Parts: sequence; C-alpha cells; structure tokens
Amino acid sequence: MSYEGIVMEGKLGFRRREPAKSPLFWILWALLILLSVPWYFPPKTYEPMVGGLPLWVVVVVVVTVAYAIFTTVSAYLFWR
Amino acid sequence: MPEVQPAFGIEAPIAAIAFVALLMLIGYYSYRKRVGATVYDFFLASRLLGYVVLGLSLYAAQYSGNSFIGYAARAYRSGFVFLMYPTFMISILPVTIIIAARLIPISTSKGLTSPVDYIRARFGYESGRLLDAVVVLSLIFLVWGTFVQFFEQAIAMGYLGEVVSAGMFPYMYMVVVFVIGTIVFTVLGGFRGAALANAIMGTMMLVGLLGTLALISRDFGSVGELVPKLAKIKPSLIATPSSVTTIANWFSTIFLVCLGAPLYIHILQHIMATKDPATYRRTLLFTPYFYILTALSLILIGVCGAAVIPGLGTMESERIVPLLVVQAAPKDPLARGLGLLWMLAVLSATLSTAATTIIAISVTVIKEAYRAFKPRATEREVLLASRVVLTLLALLAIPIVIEPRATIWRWTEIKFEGLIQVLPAILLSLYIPWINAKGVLSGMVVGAVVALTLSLSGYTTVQGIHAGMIGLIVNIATCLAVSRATLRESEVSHARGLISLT
Repeated sequence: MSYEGIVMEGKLGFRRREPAKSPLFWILWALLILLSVPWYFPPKTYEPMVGGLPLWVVVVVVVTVAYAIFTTVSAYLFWR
Repeated sequence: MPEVQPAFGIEAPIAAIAFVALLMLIGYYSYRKRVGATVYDFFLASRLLGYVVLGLSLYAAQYSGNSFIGYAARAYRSGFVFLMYPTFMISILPVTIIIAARLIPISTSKGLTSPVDYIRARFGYESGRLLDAVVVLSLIFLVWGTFVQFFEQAIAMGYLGEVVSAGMFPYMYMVVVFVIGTIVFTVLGGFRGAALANAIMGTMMLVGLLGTLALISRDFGSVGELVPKLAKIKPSLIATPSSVTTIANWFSTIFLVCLGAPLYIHILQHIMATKDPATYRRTLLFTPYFYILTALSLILIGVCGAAVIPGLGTMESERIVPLLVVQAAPKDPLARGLGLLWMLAVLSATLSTAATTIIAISVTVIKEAYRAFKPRATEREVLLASRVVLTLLALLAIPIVIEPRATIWRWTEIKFEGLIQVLPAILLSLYIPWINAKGVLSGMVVGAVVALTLSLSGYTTVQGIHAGMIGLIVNIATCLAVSRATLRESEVSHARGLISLT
C-alpha cells in the first residue's frame, strides 16, 4: 500500500488521504481517459464486427466500464 | 417531421397532470412540515440527505430531459463517435471527488452553503471592490451554466410534448406550460420536494429507458441487427473517428463536460449539503454504473433510431426519442404502458431538474443582492424575494426557448464553455494556497475574452478543441502567473488556514 497520498493535517489530527495527492490515482485516471478515445484504431473503419457491433465500439465500452469501476474503487482507496 | 399518429389518447395529458399534482403534493407536504421554511432549509434540506437520496439526486440532476432527448439525438446524428458520452459522464465523478474531498470538510466546519460563500471565505482577505468583482464575475459564469441547464429542460419538454401529442400541443405551447408549471412547483415545494422527486424519478427514468430500448429491439430489430443495417445505409455512423480533429474534439468534449458539470450551482450545493465525505463516497458505489448504463442506452437508442427512421434533418432529429416511442406505442397495451411510464419519468425528472436549477440560481443571486444592499433583511423577506426572482428568471427563459436556434447539444457546449471559466476560483483554489483574488479575476476576464472572441469570429472549435477550453487554458495560465507575481505571504497563510481545515 502506498502512503504517498497520506497527509497529516486536519483539526482532528488523524491521517487523511486525498485522491489528488496520489500519483497512482492520476496515472490510472489519465490512462483510462486516453484509452477511452479510439485514436489507436485506424480511421473510418467499422470492421471487424463482433456480435453485430464494431470491435472498436466494444473496446471503448469495455474501457468505459473499467473507468466506472476505477471511480468506485478510487473513492475508497485514495480517499479516507 | 415525419407524419405520426397520436400515440396516446386523452390518458397521456391526464396522467401527466395527475403526476405533476402528486409531485406538488410532496413539495407542499415538505413545505407544511416546515422543511423549506427557512433559507437554510430551502437550500439544503437541513443537511439530512442520505447517500441513496443524494446519489440518485445527483444522478437525476445530471441526466434529465436534455440528455434523454438531446443527447440521444446527437447520437442519431453522429453515431458511435458519441461514445464520448459515457466517458465524459463518468469523468464528472473523479473531478467531483477531488472537489468534494476538500469542499465538504471546509463547508461543514465554516457553515458554507453556496459556491459564492466559499469564494468569499477563500479570498476573504481582500476587502471591497476586488472581492466583489471576483464574486460578481464568478456568479455570472455560475448562473450562466445553471440557467442554460434550466432552459435546456424546457426545450426538451417542448419536443417531447409536441411529438407525443402528434402536434396537437405545439412545441411553443408545451414550453410555456412547462415553464409556468415549474414556477408553481418550485414556489410551493422547495429543495426537499425537488430532491426527493429527483431521487424517485432517477430510478424510474432508468427503468423507463431500458424498457424503451427493449421495445425498440422487439419492434424494429435488436441492436445486433440494426447496426449492420447502418453499415449499408450510413457507414460513417458506426465507423471510427475520421480525422485527428474528431479525436481532438472527443478529448476536448470529455474535459469540457467533466470540468464543467461539477460546477453547476446546484451540484456544488448538493456537495456542500453532504454531512461528511463518507456519505458522498457511498454514492459512488452505484452512481458510476447508473451513469454508464444510461449513457450507453441513450447512444444505442439514437444509433438504432438512425436505422429505423433515417434521414431526419438536424433540428428534426432532436425529436428522435419521442418519435421512436410513439411509433412503438400503438402496437399493444404493454408498449403503451411502458411508453407512458417513460414519458412521465422524463417529465418529472426534467421538472425536478428545472426546479432545482432555478431555485439554486435565485437563492444564490438574492442572497448576494441582500448582502450588498440590505444585510439585515429577515429570512422571510429573502425567501419571498428569491421567489420573485425565480419567477422572473423562469419567464426570461421563454423567449430563448421558443426559438431555440441551436440543438440541445450545442447549448450544452456553450453552457460548459462559460461555466468552466470559474474552475480556478473553485477547484484550483482548493489545492493551491498561493492562488489569489487578483489571479482568479484576471484569469476569468482573459479566459472569457479569448473564448468569446474565438466563438464570435466563427471559431467555435480550433482543430476540434472548443473555444471555451482554449479560454480555460489561457485563464489558468493567467491566473497562475498573476497570482505568482502578486504573491503576499499573509494571503497565502489565510488560504492555507482554510484549506487545512480538510
């Protein structure tokens, strides 16, 4: 577990952790946004198709679902 | 607009009126119970919002008529390239976490209730004109974004009502009825009525939406059948982005929305009304999945709509969702029932969003006005005045929405391009203690001038990047540079004192 995000502040004096202070939070977040945009597929194509949907659509949806999970997890992991 | 037969008989307007009456009853009940009787209650429902109500409220505040009608329409026009939609909606959440992580503890310990309260507390070392200028300019951007969000709801309701009644109630008539209905609803209800309605409707909306998608699949073919059909009639709708500009626009849109949407006055008030960070954190157990499911369903509805009813023009396509519902509805009682449920859910979610936004604007504006001109006013006076302002503001929206001039999506872009200019004052100032009032003020002025100049000279985007985003970059750079140049140790320690409350 990384303790980089922990700051010793606050009127009660207990340990707090903030997402904005964790490099891992920023790295994962940037990576997910980067992968959610299909720049890595060739332009103007819809093939191959998977189950009636273009593959690139499926990939973007999978990344978006991972992004949603990241949001829930980071609220607990990086924010105390 | 393609010819449509009236999908519903007299039951549609009766159900709609009965439903709105029920919502008003909830509002009136909460009013009688003295919730909403004081300014503080009216705003924040006494900091009692639990995490389920809070989460569903935030969800329904971000998803209502404008997204149900306008964003699906955008997917109809641009196809799967609008998959930026779930991403930018999810992206709102981490940005909100970053704001909430500091704003919740500061608001709780300082008793702050609105973003303007925060700005006053953060830059409180400045007295007189400079602080007033920061407050007024921030207020202009905050009100702008929230007000456009309000009238987008009226536009959506206009389209919905017109199509559902098969033109019997024209767009213009629907808009006026909706705005007046919102005024009555809000003046009687207060924040709790709207928040509760929002929460209930949030759930109903999602059920209705999934039902609509199921209906489309049943009556017109599944997604797996309709999408390959598009490959033949309009392949660009299902293909990857065609150019670097489209990719840049995709990124720009994600940042525009995720940085803008947490800054609505009513969203910031929701955050500030939260009891503690744990309550807000718990909302994230389910809201991301609601966000994603809704956005994906709306894209699928829009894209499938392009296969079922192809060839609608830009403004005609704004009506695609109700058109689909109406086409499926007459087929059998189940379809009619689901169609009606969907319509009521969208109606009430839209109504409660409209109510929440307009309350937030009027109370914030009136509080500032009283602070400036009559600081010793009674709560009763302030509440009455805020209701007058609310009515005037809502009526002001009518001339704008009667002739909307742009699609709902375009309004969304314009809305956030203004709203994000307040980002340094609210988000950056929570984390960077040396950001000062002079920096924030000059940043906002320069950012707004750049964004407006670009937009008015026809460059709404530059290489796909929104004029407002370019404005924001210049805004932040100016804010940081001016703050550095005019840095004063006493101001930094004041800011540090506030920020360290977290």
